[in-house]
Amino acid sequence: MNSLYIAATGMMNQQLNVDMISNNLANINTTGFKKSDINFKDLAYKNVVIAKERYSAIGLGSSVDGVRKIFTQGNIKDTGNPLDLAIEGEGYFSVRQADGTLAYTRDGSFRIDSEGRFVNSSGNILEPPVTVEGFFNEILISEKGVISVVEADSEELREIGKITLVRFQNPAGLEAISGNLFKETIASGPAINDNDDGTFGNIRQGYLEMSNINVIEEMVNLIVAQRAYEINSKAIKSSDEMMGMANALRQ
Amino acid sequence: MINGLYLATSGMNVEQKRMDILSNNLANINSTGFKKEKVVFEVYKDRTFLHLLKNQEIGNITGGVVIGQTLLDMSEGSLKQTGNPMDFAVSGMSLFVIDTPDGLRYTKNGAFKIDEDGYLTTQEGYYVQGSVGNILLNDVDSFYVDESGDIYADDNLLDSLNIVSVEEGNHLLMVGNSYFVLREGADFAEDVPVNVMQGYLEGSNVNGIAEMVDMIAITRAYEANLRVIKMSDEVLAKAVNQVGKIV
Repeated sequence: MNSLYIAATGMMNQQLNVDMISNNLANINTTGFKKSDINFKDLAYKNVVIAKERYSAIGLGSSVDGVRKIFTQGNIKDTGNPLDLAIEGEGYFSVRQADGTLAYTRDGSFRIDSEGRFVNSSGNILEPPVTVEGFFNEILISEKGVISVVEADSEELREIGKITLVRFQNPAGLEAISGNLFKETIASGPAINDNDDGTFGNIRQGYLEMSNINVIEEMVNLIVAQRAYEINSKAIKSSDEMMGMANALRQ
Repeated sequence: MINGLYLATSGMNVEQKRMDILSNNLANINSTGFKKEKVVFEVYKDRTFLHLLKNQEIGNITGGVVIGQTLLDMSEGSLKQTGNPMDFAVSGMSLFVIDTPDGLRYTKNGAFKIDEDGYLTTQEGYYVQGSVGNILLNDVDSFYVDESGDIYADDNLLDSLNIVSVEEGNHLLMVGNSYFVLREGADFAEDVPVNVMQGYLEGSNVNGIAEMVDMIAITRAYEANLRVIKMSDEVLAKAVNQVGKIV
């Protein structure tokens, strides 16, 4: 009986589905998190003999078609913190990691470190680096990313640097690494630098982009996954019962 | 009597295969663009029985049952809105055309992506076919696909999705990985209105309730056939052990 193994593929896939939904839900409050979705497809078909020289194809179950990141805009939350930045549009912030390589993020919760550098929440330095010197009253970041400070003594506005957004030909090809960061891959293509025309997105100071997870959608997916899992387990149980009956044929 | 044994066995075999096909439907209850299979039974060869002495026909008896054919149920699956511009659903009997290493394949699974060279591909990386071949979406800031499958990039007509249609599900054969091929002798239907929806995926058309009911029917039919075998066995036991026995 193939049905035992066929239904088992369904159960295993639904387990993966629940794993992925759990990760989405666990990150519902993660700044700049992008949800994943998973697609399934049917596995191969096997020809079985049903009568002399007559065949019928029997499917062998299901498999994973692919897991993708969905890069839709997350909700924008007002934090009031002047160093919290949200991107409206498809751009990314670039940061340099401790190992010297570049990574990209939508998480704009920046701070200023002990040396006056703009760093993200995990200490990765903004690329290109921006350093604040001396005392200032206020820090202003324009929609296009120009960073200015109001000097403490002279109360003059002084430009100290600029945040350059990047974008990718195929964001779905980005590799998600921990710490809310993405790395470029062959599939995503190289990072393209902003050309100042604002098509990569506008920066909103004092706001953070939340995750793009929709709880209702995830809950519906969870119900579907659980029921699919359950119904496949029923198929296994039925197959088991049928084999049990055949076994009991000769007492 | 012996005949009854074999007839019931053929019934059990068929129910087992039906269970395999049903399990495949259930395993794919969440597969994008999956179409469920239905089983058609066929009676295996009628045989004429003759009266031994009078050489008269008594009547016909069937030689059991086999699976005649599995039919594709092409009814539409539920539409799921994903909001992802790389997701497509196509209505009814229409399918997308994919260039795979095994040749052209047809699919209802429109979960596509753009590969590193900028081509529209399936998740596996096989090229989705447009009006003249692969669809290049390189250096395109934004694109949208209208209902007829025309692809507009930055508001200019770029290409159109190659979409084929069949008259009935019977003309298609599933080959796995959400691909279909044309059955031998079948042709595509012409001039079928298509409806492409961007940002949607078509779920599978497997209905859990219907499959559960079938599952119960299969288990019970299997059990009933089994009882026939048991009873035939008991009757045979009587014939062997009791008939002609001097009490």
